[in-house]
Amino acid sequence: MISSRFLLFAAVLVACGSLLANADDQSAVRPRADHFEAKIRPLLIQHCTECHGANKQESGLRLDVRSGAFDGGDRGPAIVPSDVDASLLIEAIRYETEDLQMPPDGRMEQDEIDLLTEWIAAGAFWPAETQPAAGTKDAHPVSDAVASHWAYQPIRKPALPQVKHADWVRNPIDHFVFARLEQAGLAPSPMADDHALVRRLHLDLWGLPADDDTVKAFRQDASDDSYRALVDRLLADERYAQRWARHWLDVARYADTKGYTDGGNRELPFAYTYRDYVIRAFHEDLPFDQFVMDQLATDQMDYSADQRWRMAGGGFLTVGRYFNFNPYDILDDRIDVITRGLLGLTASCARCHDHKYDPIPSADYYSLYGILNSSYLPHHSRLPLLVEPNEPSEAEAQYVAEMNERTAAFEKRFDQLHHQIEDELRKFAADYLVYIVQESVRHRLGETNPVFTERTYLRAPTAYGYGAVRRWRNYIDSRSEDDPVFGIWKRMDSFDKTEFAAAFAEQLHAWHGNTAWQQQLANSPPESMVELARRLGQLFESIDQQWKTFVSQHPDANRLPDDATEQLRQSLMGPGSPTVLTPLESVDCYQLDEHVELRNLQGKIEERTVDFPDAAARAMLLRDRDEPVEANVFLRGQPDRLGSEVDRHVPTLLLASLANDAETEAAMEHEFAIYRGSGRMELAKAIIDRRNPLTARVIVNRMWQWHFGQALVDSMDDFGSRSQPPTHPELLDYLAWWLMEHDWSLKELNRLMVTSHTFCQSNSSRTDAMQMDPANQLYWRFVPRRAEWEVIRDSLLAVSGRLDQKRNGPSIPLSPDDPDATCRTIFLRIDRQHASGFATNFDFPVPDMTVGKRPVTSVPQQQLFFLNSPFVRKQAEALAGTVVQFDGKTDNAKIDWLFQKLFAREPTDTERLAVIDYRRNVSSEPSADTPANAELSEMESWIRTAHALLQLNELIYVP
Amino acid sequence: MFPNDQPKRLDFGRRSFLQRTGLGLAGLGVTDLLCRESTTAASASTANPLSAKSPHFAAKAERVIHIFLNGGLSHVDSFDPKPELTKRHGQSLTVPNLITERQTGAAMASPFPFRKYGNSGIEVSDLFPHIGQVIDDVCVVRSMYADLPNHEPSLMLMNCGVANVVRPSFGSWLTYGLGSENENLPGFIAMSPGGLPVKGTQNWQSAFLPSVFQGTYIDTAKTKIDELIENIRNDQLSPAEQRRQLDLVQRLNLLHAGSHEDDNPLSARIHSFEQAYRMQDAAREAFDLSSEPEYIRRMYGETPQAKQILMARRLAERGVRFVQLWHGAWQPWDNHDKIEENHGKLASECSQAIGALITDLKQRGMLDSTLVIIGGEFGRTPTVEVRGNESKFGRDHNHYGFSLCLAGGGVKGGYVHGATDEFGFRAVEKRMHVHDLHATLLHLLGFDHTKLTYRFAGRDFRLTDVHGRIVSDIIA
Repeated sequence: MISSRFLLFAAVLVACGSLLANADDQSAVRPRADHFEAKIRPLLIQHCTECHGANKQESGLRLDVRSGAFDGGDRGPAIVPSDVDASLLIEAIRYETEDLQMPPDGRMEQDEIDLLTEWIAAGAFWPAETQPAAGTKDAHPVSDAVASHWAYQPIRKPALPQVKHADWVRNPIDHFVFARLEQAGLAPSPMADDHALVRRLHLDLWGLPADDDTVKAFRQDASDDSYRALVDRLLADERYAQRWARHWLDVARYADTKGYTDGGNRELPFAYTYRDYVIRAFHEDLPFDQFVMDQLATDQMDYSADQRWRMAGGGFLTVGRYFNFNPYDILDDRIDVITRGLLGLTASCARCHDHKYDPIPSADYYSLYGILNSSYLPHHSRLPLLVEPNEPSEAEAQYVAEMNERTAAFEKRFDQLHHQIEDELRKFAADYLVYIVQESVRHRLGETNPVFTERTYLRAPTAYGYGAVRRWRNYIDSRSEDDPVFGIWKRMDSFDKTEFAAAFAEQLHAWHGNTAWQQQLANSPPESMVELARRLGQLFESIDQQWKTFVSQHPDANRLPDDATEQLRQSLMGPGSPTVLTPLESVDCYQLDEHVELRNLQGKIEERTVDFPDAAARAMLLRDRDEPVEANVFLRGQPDRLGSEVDRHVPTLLLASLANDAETEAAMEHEFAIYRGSGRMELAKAIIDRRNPLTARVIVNRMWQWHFGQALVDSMDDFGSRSQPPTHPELLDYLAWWLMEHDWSLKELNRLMVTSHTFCQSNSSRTDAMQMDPANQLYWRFVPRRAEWEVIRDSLLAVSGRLDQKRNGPSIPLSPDDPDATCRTIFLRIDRQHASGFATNFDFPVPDMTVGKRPVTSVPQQQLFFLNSPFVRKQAEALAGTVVQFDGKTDNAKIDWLFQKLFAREPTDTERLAVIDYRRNVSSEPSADTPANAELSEMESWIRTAHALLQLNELIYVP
Repeated sequence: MFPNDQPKRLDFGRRSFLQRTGLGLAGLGVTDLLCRESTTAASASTANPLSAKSPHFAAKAERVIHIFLNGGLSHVDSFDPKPELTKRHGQSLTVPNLITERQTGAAMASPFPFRKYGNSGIEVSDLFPHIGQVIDDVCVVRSMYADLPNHEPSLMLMNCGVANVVRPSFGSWLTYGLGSENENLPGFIAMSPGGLPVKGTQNWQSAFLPSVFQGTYIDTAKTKIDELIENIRNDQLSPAEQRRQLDLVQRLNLLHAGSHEDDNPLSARIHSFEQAYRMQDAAREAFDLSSEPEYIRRMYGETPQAKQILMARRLAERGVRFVQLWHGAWQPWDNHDKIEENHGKLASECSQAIGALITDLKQRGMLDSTLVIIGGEFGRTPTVEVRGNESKFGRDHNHYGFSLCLAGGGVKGGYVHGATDEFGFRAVEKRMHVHDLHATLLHLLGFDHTKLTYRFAGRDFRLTDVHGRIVSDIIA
């Protein structure tokens, strides 16, 4: 019995749960809740909930929810707080009594038993349930959470605060920033000098250094709008798009390969079309809402001929890692990039259980899973061409023909395998049924249960799929005791093997089953569950044979003449039978070698593209399957443990937050209901809906971070309840409102940000401000920062004059530190399996997941690159090659030229002297350790000089 | 939360350094100045997340050498003797249903005899006589188990604690937690002669941890030291010439920094240039085996595996935090066929050097502070592999039970932990999951595995996810 004291205690806890403001009570509960979540719940999940959980309640017991554990099952309460001896759970796990030993497959470790025992002795604290078991979305208090967390509140335009430094205000951003500064007793910094400003703007908008002439012209231009004119010019140039597309590619975890694969093809030869799409979208300032639509629902848009290029946006979902073709992980990656990338929601947490902190139940995760699993990436031969060629070249025509041939080979084998598997499941039915009985402890005879039988290799779970055994088992589980074929099985299943023989006759008598089957059993009763299974299987097999013969004689037949036999045939191969598979379901039943075979056949198709780099560009977009696939919750994220089925719907959290402003959640459910197709369209529409509080906030926060090096919401990819609230909430909302007001124009947002005084501030430090706000969270100045590695590499090429003009097309398969690679870094092939050391040393993130903010580190390997790499040396050689061509220029003038080229300014006298000093050593003092260099050539001395200057901080810092 | 700084925001407290080294000091020897600074002003490297940090509590083990027998060492042929298997050789076994990757047949006795070694009398097969000789310093865990019978997920589980999704590797976590004791060498080094193992660089990935924490891969089949580390040597400039060039760089950098005196990133890079300069010598020196005395080289042996094991000792001596040694490209130990011939050859390539490593670390007083791990991603079946109807004299994958050896770093030597069933199919006594191994290793290194975390995507991630128990039995 549960003591009244405990009930009181529980009631108090429930009350605490709703009174968040009650800090004292919270702090008392918190450590025990943490202990429960960290130590106790994992044990219950690991050992108990498979049989005592949401899906299955053996002996009527559930250990996944508090009420279930405390109320107990058929035997009584499993847990009695503070009473170890009365708690059946403890009796079971101690293995003390013969008839109650859990878990059935072996005693838990002693320290695990101790943990549970101590926990119960200490009162069995189990936090009040805010969330019911996985799969039950209705009871999830999503609306409550939506009502209380800032990020889910509607976006409203805040009023501009009044500020003291009004004369410095250039646009609304400054109102919000200055107001916070002034509140803290700080003043903004004055404008940066012209040189810093022009260089900052170039590195920020183009990712390339400003040239000397631009800085000079800007200095000389006294007009009021000179800065704005410069901004306009930079934003209009394609170089802006090549820089800003790269930011988005971090969100899109872009790479040109699938990552590790065992068999098949590992290249993504059309990935570049997505990269080119993003560049063009930024260049043409495609409104962000349309940008999102392109990336999620490409195949369902009706593009006019001049908009066909936008189909390539579909690559957003398909350029991720392929996890050695593991379908669950591929879909998880796609769910993650949508939810974290576009919405700042960490929905992936709900893959294994309802989200611990945010209102995202597993049901919503698996609803997204269903949406994405109802979509597929077609073979290369079926991907749409971005430009319909007028007359394909001979090579292109041959390429297409061969791809089609290879596709046909794949599809032939695919169909064959599908039919083969269906046939196997029928013709070896006895092996499957016996196997299933042998898996249960209650009915197993002997110890062996081989996957290889004398006749077949059973399609049991493998690491790559969950097989046909599961199909049979689920089917049997779903039968009732009155089922005409499996009823007797279901009745006998609850008996132990020792009781089988004694109970059989009575059970058979009570059952009204299929007459032929029942008669056979009555004539010769089986002695064990195994025999029952074998006999039923053999009966099925003979029916399968009969049907094959019958159909060969009566090709139009749709049933067997005898009713009882036909009833058995329906059970074996009628609708809903485990032996009737969709082609997709048959994939789940593949053996390892079949997976690899199909993978290789598909690889053959793709290799044809890899071998033909001139292939006409195709969009890597998802298409809807002919029939959408409904998803089940996977308990603990494991595909072999099916929970309840989930309909495909827009995540509840989104619906609830869309409804936040005026309309009801039910209205939203109606508005975004999925009637046909996968549902990607409806999902996309809910994401770009102007009532959606997340989309606009998430993108403006990213844009801010890309400009300022730090974000308003520090955790850019997580706007959930565990994120830090924004440093400037009103500014964030204002920007989000402003973006939608300006038709989602990212370029206008760029313009707004870089024309603010906040962005244009000097980078000089100030003692007062440094003491009060060393991290510059209030933006009292612009903090100089090291540029990203792409900017570093592009800058090195630009100042040496070696940067080429590549602007689209297949990725260049050269290493980024190859001295002969001269394209902008965005055009280089990214192999997610073998990232370049150059890139990773400079903090290039693993392109496997959305990365909102790259770390900025300074490690010696970066400097080794500058000191020794042939790449940097090559740029120095190019610079020196120009310098030595200057006839009649003094060394001073040559040094000045180098400074202008690299830093867009002349050297100071001190700097010039330092260089001259160095050059005197280099040229006139032959090195002692390498006498061969005794007469250093003019060329070599300038190479060394230029090489030194290329290593300077000034080149790679955004001032 | 990790107790020390997450490399998140930069520390701006560097006024004095740059004031003292600003404009007025251009005439001084820049090198001297920076060298002195680098020893006195540790905070100059706050932007360097690799600088050494303290763990959660004092611990014996300070570094790890992981000898990875990739492909899967057969435990019943090495560290887990099964007389019952010999008795029942050729017979079919009645065992609970265990799904492995392929089809197996009857029991196969080990072709390798076992002998007792040391005071502890632990039995080791003739595959690893040299490990037998140091067995009193070795803890043999015979009850390891993992989750899946396939290489890829098992490699990820062993290295990153999760079978499928992309998560940081053990070495990355450790380097994140402890930094590096030697600024002039990478903190985490992975070596494999002749190419990458299955799953390639993912075995030492940093995932969502900053990429500086990922392993640096070195192909030890390369014979020239300069080829081992990228950009470790300048082909055109002598050290003195490069020093002069660097002096100019630093002089100009200091002038530039003068106008940004509070900007730590700038000063961090100035400092980092000096580290890089020293690293050129330090790294070459660390990998140069020719400076080892003849008797030491003989003690380890001449195979590529022996060479990299000796390199690992040199790196450990020089403060590298985590060295992972792969036997070779792809998965050499995956002997589905002819286990006698194949395992025999592979063991002969590394047994002597592994024994030498443990002896050598001990004689240098480093064994206590160096945790040595020897093992694969799983074990192999006691039954013989069958293809068609033909016996292949090899063994299939077996993740239900396998052995792993640990030495040094506070591990209990001369001790056998746990057991598999009578045939070696399944761990049955004191079962130790890979998560438990990770939790215990982190404990030996001074970390509470539940607290070495990193916030990513709204969650504090850790190596052991929500699992892991510290197995105190194996701790000395």
